[in-house]
Amino acid sequence: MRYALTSAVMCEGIQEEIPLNPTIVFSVGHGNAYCWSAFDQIAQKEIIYHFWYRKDRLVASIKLVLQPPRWATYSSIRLRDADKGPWRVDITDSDNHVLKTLRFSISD
Amino acid sequence: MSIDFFYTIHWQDVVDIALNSYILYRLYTLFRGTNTFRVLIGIACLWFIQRISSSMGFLVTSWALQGITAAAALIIIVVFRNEIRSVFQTQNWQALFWGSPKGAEHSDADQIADALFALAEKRIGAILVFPGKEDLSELIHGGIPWQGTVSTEMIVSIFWPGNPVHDGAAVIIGNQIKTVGSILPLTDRTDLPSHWGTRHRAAAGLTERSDALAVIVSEERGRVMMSKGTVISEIKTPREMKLTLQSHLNIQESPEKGIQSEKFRKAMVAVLSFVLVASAWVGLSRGRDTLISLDVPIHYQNLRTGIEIVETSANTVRLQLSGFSTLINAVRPDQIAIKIDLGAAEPGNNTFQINAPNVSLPPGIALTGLSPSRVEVLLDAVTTRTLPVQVDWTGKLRDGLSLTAVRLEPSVLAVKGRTQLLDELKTVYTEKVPLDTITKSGSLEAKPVLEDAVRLGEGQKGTIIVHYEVTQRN
Repeated sequence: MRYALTSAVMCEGIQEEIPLNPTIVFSVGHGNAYCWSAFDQIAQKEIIYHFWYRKDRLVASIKLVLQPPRWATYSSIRLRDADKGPWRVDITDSDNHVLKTLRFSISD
Repeated sequence: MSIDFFYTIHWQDVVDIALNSYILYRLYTLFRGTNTFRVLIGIACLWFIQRISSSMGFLVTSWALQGITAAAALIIIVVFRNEIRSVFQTQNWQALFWGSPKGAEHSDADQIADALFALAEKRIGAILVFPGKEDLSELIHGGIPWQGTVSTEMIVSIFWPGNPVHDGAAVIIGNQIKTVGSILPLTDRTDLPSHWGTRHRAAAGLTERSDALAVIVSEERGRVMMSKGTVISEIKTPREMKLTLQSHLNIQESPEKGIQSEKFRKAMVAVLSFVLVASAWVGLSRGRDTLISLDVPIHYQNLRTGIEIVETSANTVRLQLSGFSTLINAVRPDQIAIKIDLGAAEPGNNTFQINAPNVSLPPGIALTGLSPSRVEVLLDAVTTRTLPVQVDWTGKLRDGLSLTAVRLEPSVLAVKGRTQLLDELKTVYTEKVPLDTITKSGSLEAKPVLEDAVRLGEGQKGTIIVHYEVTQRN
């Protein structure tokens, strides 16, 4: 492996590259849901993806860049009333290998 | 008649024809020679003529014959009740269903003839009764049971003037003298010669009311006479007496020839019974006077283990059926089935032709058309997948609280279903779990919600334990 995923979490915000209020249930009134991921041992510039699924249907795929030697990056979606329900984010490498799956829900 | 005709014959039809042929054959065997049988033949002829009249459009003739036939069938039971009763009373159950009818039993005609002429020679009066097939219990009264074997000496001794029972009639069945001193009904006829005594009047009275034969020996004139039906005639010689008895009792001179003739007659009757019943069956079951249309569900059967039906182009087939109106009106939906054998079908799209062999119909009903004649069946292999479980949270968590972690037991579930369906399924979700009641960390139970055609794998529990952690929001 050219890098290692050290941490990944769903959170309500990002402040100074640090996840704020990790949670697994987002209130639709909150505004945004964030998927934060941190990597180590990065040898060179790499590409990863955050695939956002609502009930197994792909809603968004976000391409992110990792910079050596250590990097934290995130993606987010805007919470809408129609998005309520169970979600997941698959964090994958550039070859589509799933590194981690984060599961959460959007509720009232 | 094409070869297809034979494919439309059901096992029920074969049993139906065989059973009724046998019943007809037995009826003939049991009632042969009786008046009932002759009247039955007459009724059968009337019915046949009525059917022809009906088919030719003779409305009044058909209507009248139908009424007469129905009334005659009822009258025959009333008029011939004694004869019918005697047929069934004299038979045991075995004889009724498959044995030969007992009929009149064999008598020792030579001995009887010799005895009668010995009595005549000695001018000793006597009267002997030989029953036919009819029951005589209502006609003959009194009498003393005798149960003696027929012999010349026995008969002479019974009618010997000094014997207390010499005045009555002796009833002979087979080789047995059953009763003696029996009283017979006297005839009301006025045309009999005046010199005939009570014995003659008793013999005439019995034979005019039954099929019995009575033989009288005249005490005054020493003559032997016989009474059969309404005819009373003199018997001149023992040989003539013997032949008369043999004729009445249906005894053959040559036993071997008689057996062969009887076998041939039985075979002919059996064949005729079969032809008659088969003709009636063809007339009834192959009549095509009524047409109906029915929507019948298709039964897909013999689907191999590990394969499931995804979808079919048709679930019902419209059948056009024809048959005799009585049979068509009696058809119940559960008697009709369309079966498609999926035993050789493979996953993917399969096409099947629907034709007559696929359609199971009750006897007497014919298939004249169906639509659609082809059905497409999409099959898929059944597979098992292990999928992660996710809670489907709903409602609103109280202000100031945050759900930070969840642990599930079990966290994955094995599910079974069609491959194509499971390929698209990535997660098993629980039923909706409300957030509103959660105030602190804890556990709860939730059931997994599976899509149609997906089920839990073997040994999988239907309950998920959800351990959750709640923290105060910063």
